[in-house]
Amino acid sequence: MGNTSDRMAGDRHGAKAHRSDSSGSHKDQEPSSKMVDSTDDPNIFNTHGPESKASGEKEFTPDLDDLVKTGPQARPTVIRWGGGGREVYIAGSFNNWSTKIPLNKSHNDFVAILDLPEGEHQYKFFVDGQWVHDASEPIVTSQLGTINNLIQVKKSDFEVFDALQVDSLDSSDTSDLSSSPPGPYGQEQYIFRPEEHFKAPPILPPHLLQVILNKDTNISVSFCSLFHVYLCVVFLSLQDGVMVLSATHRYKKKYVTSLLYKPI
Amino acid sequence: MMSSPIQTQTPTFTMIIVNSMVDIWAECCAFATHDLMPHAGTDPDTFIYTNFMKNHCCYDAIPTSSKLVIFDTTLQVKKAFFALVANGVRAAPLWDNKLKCFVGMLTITDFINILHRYYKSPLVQIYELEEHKIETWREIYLQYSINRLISITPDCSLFDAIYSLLKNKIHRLPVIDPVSGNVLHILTHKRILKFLHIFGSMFPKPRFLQKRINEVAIGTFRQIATVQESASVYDALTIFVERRVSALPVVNEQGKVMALYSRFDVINLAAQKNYNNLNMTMREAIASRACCVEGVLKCYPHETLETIIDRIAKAEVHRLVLVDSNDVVRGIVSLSDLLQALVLSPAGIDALYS
Repeated sequence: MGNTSDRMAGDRHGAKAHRSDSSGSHKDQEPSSKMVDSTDDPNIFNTHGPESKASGEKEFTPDLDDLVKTGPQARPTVIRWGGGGREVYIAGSFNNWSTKIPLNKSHNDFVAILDLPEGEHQYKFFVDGQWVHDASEPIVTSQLGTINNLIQVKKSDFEVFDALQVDSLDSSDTSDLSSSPPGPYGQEQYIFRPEEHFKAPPILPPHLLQVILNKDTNISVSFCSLFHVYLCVVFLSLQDGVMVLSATHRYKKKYVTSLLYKPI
Repeated sequence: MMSSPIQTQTPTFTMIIVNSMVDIWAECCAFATHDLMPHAGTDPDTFIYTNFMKNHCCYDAIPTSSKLVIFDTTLQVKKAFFALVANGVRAAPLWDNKLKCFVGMLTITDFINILHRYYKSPLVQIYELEEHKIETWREIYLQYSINRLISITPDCSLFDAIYSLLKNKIHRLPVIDPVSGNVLHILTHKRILKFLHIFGSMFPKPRFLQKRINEVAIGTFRQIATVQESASVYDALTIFVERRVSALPVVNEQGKVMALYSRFDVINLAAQKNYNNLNMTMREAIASRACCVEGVLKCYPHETLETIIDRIAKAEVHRLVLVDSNDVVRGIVSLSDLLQALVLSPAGIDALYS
């Protein structure tokens, strides 16, 4: 219980020496970088487990605190039920077990996105008239002797959304786009550990917000300077039965962003 | 030493192969790239623009970064026209997914032709505009003519590009990379003039630019297509279709020019969803134009070529209306006329009028 601050968790893990060095020098370079929040979990770059943060990161987190106001912030959390059924609902300690929230059927399972504040919550599913818990997710025995599912909503999960929000608000400032994101950089290959599961995908690199596509422009010629960074990216838009696929190609030193309109 | 019969035959064989390769490229890069020199007695500046265009290729005129909209031929025409407006582009290459190649272009001319052919009344939706796919429209429109995509490669000279634009009487020329088959850019008269205007400062201005427009007679001065203020938008579309002009001076009863209605203004009907009321008068159509135009871009017979070229380049228009002191229409000076006169005619090539 009580896993509020991940910053302290970094002390639990050893072998931080080389990381502090790299982040130490990082500290000197960019104390005011807008890239501050743009790494989701900096631990993605190191092999020391999901909960540790380099001590050098500490100075960046005050900015994060400014963004996330003190007090429980409710953020969208995905709840999934894969056990079949026709009608699936959820209730939990987050709504005092008062109402049953319906889950939406999505292919083979049921999904709901709930705004849960940070902390620990118990919940249970109401499937076709019966209260059941999800055996594949963490469980806890409640004081009444019933088995409920348990979910820990962590602050570190929220940083992703703050980062993306900051990025899209400040995307007009391109002055720092050429610098590398903060974080420890090393020679070790990233080893994927199946037990690490991140609740959200990595955030969009900020330079992809600068594409010629999303600019409100009436002219077809533009002078954005970072063409080469989005050469291998395909953008997709689906609207009104029309699919638009877009990619940027380079021909010698010229770049053309093509948009293909196809009916679906 | 006597050469063997085999040796004397081989050169002929090689020559045949080379000739056929030249034929394949003949369509694209038709003209030799050596500079033309004036012979005795002619103005030494005659070939300045001709040589400039021969010495630069289409690749040079392509912007560093640009956007290109492409439509699959199975897309509905109405969605295609709205997509043109939404993206702020005027033309789009068409991709046929069965043939796996580009087969044509969709431009405002297609929009004009569809409206003209199928419009019945303000009360009736234009069914064909609502329901047709691009491929259905092309089948109907092209049934009496052979259509192949006119394009150019990036290494062809700008001289070749100008020739192709003027000879084929088109305003959009796709530049296609022969290796990948990708469209890189849609080249236009305006883009070429802009390129010339930017780099033209590198060489001294030819003296003939100081000649007056009425001396050099560049432009159209007879049978100018115009439209009355009181005529309907549908009448204007009819003139666009029949006369194949790109803009119409809108005149009052005295022949005085009040505004200029170009093909581009027709796509505005799509932007404002007004395309179902083609009975409105030209006066109303001009008034409802979203972008306010200060006045018609005009020129007078006594103005020099240099003034006119500068004015066209700065205003980024395709033509100026030549008027007399009473603002009565006397002629049109367009980019096609200028490029023919300054670039092609010195080389003895007439593309525009042949």
